[in-house]
Amino acid sequence: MGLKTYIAKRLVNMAVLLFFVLTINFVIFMLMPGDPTLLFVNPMKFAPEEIEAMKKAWGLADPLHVRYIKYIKNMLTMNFGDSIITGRPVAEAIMQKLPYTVFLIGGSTIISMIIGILLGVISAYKRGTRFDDANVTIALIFYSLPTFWMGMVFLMIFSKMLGWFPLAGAFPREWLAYPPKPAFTVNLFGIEIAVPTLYEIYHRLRHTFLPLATLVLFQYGGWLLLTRATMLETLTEDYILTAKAKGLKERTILFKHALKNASLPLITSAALSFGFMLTGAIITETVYTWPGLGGWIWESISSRDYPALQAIFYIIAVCVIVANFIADLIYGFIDPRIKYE
Amino acid sequence: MALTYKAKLKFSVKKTFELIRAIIKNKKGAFGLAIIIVFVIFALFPQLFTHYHPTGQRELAGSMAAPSWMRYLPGGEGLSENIFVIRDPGFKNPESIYQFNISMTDPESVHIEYIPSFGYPHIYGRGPGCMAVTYKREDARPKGNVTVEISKSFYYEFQGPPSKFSGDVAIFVEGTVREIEGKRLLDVPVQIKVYIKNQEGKKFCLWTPSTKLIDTPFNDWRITRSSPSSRTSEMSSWSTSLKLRMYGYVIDPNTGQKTPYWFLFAVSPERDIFGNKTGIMSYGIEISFIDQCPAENVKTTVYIDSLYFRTYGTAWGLLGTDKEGRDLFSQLIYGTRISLYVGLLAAIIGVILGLIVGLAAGYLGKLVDEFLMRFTDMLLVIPGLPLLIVLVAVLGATIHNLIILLGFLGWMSFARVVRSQVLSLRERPFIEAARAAGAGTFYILRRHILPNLMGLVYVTLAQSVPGLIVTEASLSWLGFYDPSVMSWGRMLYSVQFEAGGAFDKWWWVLAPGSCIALLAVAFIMIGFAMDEILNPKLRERV
Repeated sequence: MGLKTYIAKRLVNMAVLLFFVLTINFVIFMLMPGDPTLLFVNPMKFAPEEIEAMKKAWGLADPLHVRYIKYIKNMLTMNFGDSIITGRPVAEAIMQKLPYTVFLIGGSTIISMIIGILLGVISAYKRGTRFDDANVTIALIFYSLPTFWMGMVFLMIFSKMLGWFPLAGAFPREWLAYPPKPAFTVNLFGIEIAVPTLYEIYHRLRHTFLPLATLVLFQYGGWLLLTRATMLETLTEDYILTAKAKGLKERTILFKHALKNASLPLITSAALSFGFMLTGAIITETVYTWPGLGGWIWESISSRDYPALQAIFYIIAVCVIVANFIADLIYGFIDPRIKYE
Repeated sequence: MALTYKAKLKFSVKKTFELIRAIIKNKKGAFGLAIIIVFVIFALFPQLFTHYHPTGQRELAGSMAAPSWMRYLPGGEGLSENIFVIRDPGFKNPESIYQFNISMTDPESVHIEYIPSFGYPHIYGRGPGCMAVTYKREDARPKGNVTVEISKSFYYEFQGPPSKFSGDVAIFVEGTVREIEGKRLLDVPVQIKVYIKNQEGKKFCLWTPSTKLIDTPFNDWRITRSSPSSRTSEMSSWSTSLKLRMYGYVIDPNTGQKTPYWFLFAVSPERDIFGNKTGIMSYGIEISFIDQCPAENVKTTVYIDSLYFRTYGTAWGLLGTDKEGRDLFSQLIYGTRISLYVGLLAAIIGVILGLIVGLAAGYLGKLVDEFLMRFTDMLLVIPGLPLLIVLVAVLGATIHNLIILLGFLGWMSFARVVRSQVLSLRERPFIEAARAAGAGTFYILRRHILPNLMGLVYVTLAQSVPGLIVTEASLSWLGFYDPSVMSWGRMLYSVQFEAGGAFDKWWWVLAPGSCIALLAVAFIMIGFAMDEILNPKLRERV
């Protein structure tokens, strides 16, 4: 099996998954008790015939399979309809909120990977010592703490008591009305890029710090434990002994010889844990009222905004599926054995 | 070898004891087990630790009261606790009337006694027993105004006002009447005021009946507060939580000057009345008989029952109260149940499902394996929490829905592990031997493969509980809690969303969260210990 067949197989897999998610999303909202029309229409104000006519106009009177096909088409073309609450297209809101979530998840993943892998390697190297014990215990505690509670405690200590960080949001509230002016704009290949002022960067960082720190603490334990486990296995291999016998520096052995080989499971777990990270992000965004997708889930549930909810779930699932696909690809490139499976 | 049922049971009990002993010997295991045992005791016998119902008993103290021990910490000097001023407010006991200080302008004509057979039937009065104040005159010389003051003094020992206060008084007026213009009017009308005198001697009139002069006899009890029965007419209500209905005036002790005090506009009457000083206060009822009747043998009796006054403290119990004045400590204790119940049951469901799928996929192989594993992979990829949120939002957040959903979404990774174990087990010679001896598929699965997986099952059970506990808490915190029970997650929900981010109430934030974390860590520790005991390979490595 060559690389091309491998990719093709993964692509088919991804399509099947997407279809599966779409179906689940459809079925869940079909099962929902109550008539969806009642979300829009006050039955006291309209005659039953009028409501029937509206149902027909919205396509709710169609047979199930017609609605299903229509739904699939709409989802694939990103036509999510309008939010019940704001009345604006859901897709527009998603485009507005997605960058915030991507930034939070991306930033925290990179930072936590660096911290977790570094500490994991050191922990494996010093296995059995007090440092190792303390490291593992602290990681375990942060790993098992409820994320939302960690966020609440941080808010309590750093925002309420010490006043170092703001209580909510991704930027000062007045920016909603008066967005800050960029320092200057650069025209790069026809795309206008606004460069923010130092003032704006400072405020954004101040707002980002706590959510980012919460997510990093939530994630780094997993990386640490995994790195430590795989490193422990790798460090018992013969070639490490050889490297030691050659008189190589410990650091070279650890990071160049051992970590490289121990990194394969890390990549798989990176992809598999994407859903896990999203879980953390949803909760963290809700605690800090971060204007991302996760915070939006909570808002749309509490306001019963089902079109938005359906779209968010779909988008999140698509993100996870794509992340998995990318991880598979990387895996295919890094580990040549995979292709000939 | 055929074992009897008894021998089998003995064997499994012995095995279990061995496992527990091994866990206790392991440092991590002993730590985890100790914590879990404490929580199990909380869950099984919550009544041992608290007398209050976690959700049923409202207004135990003021809204969002601090814990009592905060009073002894710096910054907690201004906190106050509940005071129930009147002992036996229902006058069940004849001695109860001696707790009051009684002063009157004309002792000869006024008589105060205990009536055992008559009383306000509701609230604190509940049943017979009341106090009667009778004004009686035989000659034909009207005495003008005769005032009786019945008051109870109490020492207010706190340097801060209560969160709020409330009280009642039920009265019944009867007496000799005469008919004027078709109306039956009392010979001696009365005026009744309920007041509180603060440490400085300022008298706050809390309540007078809406018609200031009572000139007709009552045909039923009247109470100051709405009563459960509609038979009694409500006159006026004066809990400070209902500031709208309160009115009165303040009498200065030195000048005797009256100034109107409109509770309606007062921002916090409890602050005005109680202030920040300790001292003797009194709560009382002032009855004025206005005798201008020229007739002989006139008599008016005022029956008093359900004379009740309490303050709602700003400090309460071990952990204070929530927004509705419910005891947080008992919520914490009862919350253990929910976490353990959901965590354990969902883990068991998940493990059983994983076991079934893994066994089927691993042992039956081929098409079944392919199908089941594709399905497992698909479910693994779908983000768990968003799916859970959507499902709970649609199906409703009852505790059993939560358990079932958590169980049904938590079997996938275990199924994969079981499958890989079964794949390696089925190639072992002893399985082949059993098959050669003519054993059926189910027999082999049950007698040869399953026992070899039990170690894995125990470890997975212990390791999946913490995640489930945290997920349950997260869902509750997001607002998907079962409204009939109080869980730790719901407690945190109420801090953040109901109490408007009351992060200054750090005990309320810290207590449930640390319980969640502690229980989760305990299960992780047990999982580690079991892993070390049941998978001896690990022992030399770590």
